[in-house]
Amino acid sequence: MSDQRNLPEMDPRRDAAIRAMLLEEIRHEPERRVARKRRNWWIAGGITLAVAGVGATAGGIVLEAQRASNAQYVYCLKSETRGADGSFPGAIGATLASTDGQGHVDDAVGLCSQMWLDGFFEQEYDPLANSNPSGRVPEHFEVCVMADGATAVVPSEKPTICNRLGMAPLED
Amino acid sequence: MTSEMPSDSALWLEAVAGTESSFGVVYDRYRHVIYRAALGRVGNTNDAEDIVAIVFLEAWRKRADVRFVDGSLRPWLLVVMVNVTLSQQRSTRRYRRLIAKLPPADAAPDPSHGLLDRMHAQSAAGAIGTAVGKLNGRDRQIVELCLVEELSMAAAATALDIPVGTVKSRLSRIRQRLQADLGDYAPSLDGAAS
Repeated sequence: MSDQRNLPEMDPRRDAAIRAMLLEEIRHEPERRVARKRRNWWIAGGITLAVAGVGATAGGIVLEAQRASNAQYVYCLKSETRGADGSFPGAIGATLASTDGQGHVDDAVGLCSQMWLDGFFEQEYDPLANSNPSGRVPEHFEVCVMADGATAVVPSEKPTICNRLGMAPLED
Repeated sequence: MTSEMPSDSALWLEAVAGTESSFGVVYDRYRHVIYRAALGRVGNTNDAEDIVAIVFLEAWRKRADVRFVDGSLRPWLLVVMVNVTLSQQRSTRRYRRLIAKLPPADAAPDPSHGLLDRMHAQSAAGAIGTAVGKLNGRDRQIVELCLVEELSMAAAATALDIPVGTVKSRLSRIRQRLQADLGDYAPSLDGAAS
């Protein structure tokens, strides 16, 4: 029952006005003003980003240690497992604001640890709340390099976890 | 990274985290889908544009309830659209102040509007619209997702947050009822795959 009629388009003036109105309303929401002041990093929805570019390694292929060539952002993984579809459930991509607007992360483990502490990975985390309960920071992290050159921080104490997840270990 | 287009979930998370321009990208991505669906329901462009505005305002208001279907916002936004049109008076009242600030439609009457309305009323689409209008809210949501947008029953179930079995049984009943109500106008209602 798809409608294949040649339907009229939106009035461009009203379209633009609606768009501007929406962004204006969102910008002036009081609770978002509080959240905006509090944030010092930009968080991207990371699950899709984390999947992109990561090829699943076939059994037996070992990736050599590599340097991270992309310091604009890091992936903070929630667990040391991959989904059946190759994704990393609950993973978050994160960066810190830099003067060039691109984002830059020098201390990947430090940033991800802070996100764990701020409760981003807790079940009851509410992005709309003014504050969230602190989370538990995992005792061990392994640092890996993804296919796009960015660093991934995995809560794990297994030295082989990078390869098991299809990533290269970070070169010392 | 394989794609430069941010995912719907990435845009939504950014918008919720404080980057309102990401919500603008979501609007750009789906406004035509919502407009055309709304136009099919209300039959005039001005009301359909108002519905677009209200749908995205409602989507923002209910952002904590967002559901992604295969990574896409489209099914959930369509559910919001159906809900807005079902309670159009209440939705319009809630956002009357904001809608009133939008530029009015062109003053010159568009002769195609009346023609469109007449054609709509007389055509099979009009008969279908009348028959669908007799359905309850949930059934109308299922019609929109499965029969109009041709989403799978699984996708519709996710968007509506109900079991897929419920979608399947309701869809079967909807088809039977529409076939009975539409008579000569009954189109092919093979519709959604599982």
